[in-house]
Amino acid sequence: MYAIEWRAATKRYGSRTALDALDLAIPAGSCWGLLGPNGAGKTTALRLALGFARATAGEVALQGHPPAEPRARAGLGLLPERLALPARATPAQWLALHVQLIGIAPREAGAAIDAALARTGIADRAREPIAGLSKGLRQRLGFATALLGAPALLVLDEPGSGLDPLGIRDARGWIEAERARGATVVVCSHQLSEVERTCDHVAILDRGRVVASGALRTLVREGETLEDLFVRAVLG
Amino acid sequence: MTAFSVLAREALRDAARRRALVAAAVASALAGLAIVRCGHCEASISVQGEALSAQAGQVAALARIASVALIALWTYAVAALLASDALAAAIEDGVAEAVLARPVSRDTFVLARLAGVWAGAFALGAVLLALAVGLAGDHASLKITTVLRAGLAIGIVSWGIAALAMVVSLWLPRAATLLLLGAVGAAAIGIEVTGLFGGRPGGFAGAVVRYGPAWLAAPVSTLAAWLSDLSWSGPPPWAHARAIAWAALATCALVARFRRLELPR
Repeated sequence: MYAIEWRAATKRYGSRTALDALDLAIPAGSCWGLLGPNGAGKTTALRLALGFARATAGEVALQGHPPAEPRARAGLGLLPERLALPARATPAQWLALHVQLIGIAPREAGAAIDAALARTGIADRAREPIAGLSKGLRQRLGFATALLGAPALLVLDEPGSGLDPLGIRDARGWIEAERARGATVVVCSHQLSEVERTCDHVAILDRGRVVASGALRTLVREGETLEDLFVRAVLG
Repeated sequence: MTAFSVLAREALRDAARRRALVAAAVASALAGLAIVRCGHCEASISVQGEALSAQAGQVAALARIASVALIALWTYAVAALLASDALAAAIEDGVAEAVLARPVSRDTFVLARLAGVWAGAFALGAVLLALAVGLAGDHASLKITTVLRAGLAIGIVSWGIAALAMVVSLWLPRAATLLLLGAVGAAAIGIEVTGLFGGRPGGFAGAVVRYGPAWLAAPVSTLAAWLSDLSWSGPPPWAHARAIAWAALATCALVARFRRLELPR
């Protein structure tokens, strides 16, 4: 069973090819880092997988279903790269909406919201408008939203964005806790050291194609770091 | 609670947070005050000291129809105002992506968004209509079924206008959306008024009268009892059916467009 599967997935924007017959499968229960230089097609690949965009050719499956089907997104937690939240809502209101959409019972909703706020360290700002939160606190709210309801698949696009060193350490802890719980985690990031610490598999994309993929321990040679592998894979 | 009702309520709350709904409610309250003041007015028509009951009846009928028409236009304007921002802003500020990452279909999301803002606009219009009816001088000639049918027609048309505003807002900025809808609405309603007063325009205007969305004709055609007091030809036929068809068409266009929309834009 694959959490996400791209089969010859291609995405073109006019004459530009963002994703070129991408073949990649992420097994359930694993933790993958999706890497690549700017414009490599990482975010495009995730957008296709989440049903936000349609593939020009090829197929994409999310938890065994076409991404456009709502059941494909059951048990999905998403932290998008472009984390834009409704400025006038409060974190508590925002999480209350998601609790209802996930289907958490009303009697358990309050506890779920409080737990998410406390876990991500924003409980004391829960009743303030999101517009007043710093970028780091908004990112923590993004994590709180993604972690709600113990997702089976967690997709994190640039999870360290806007976080201070303590926030990055917290984020690493949340990811490790989700992995330990058995969730599939997909991390799309430029912070190679963080990916190396949290993920057991990586896929490196360049110009819309996979140039390296597999278990970290087999891809990274002895004495190499993930950065060395990245440079070798992208620059040849 | 279904995802649809959760999202519809969120759309209404979102409109309130953006203050558009609050502004519309305040303006509606001012309009309500004007209705209250006019509700106490009395008028009689007399020629050389002799009251003309027939003409007075016509004036009263015309006044009632004008009241319903103005309330309808107000409701349409509020619906367009709220809808022009409800979907586009949700896409811009990331709400759409965040919600669609949950097990929610695009159809549910967009229709709930439409239902939420429509409910806000229609509630304001319904309050004004109830106020106008409650303050009408001669309750004997007012039938509740007539008022309910007028309200229903306003509801159908305002749904269609809200859907249209949402579709247009996916291509144009909010101000341009409102300007375009205002221009199209003014032209269509102007042509419909001509038709209501017995004019038989040809060409494009004639097509609007016969096959158009009946934005004004639909609520006015419910007032057949009052129209009999007047010596005009009455509204063109099939006004309600046309209003329903155009509202359905606008809704289908909105759903079809949103299904194909790539996020973020």
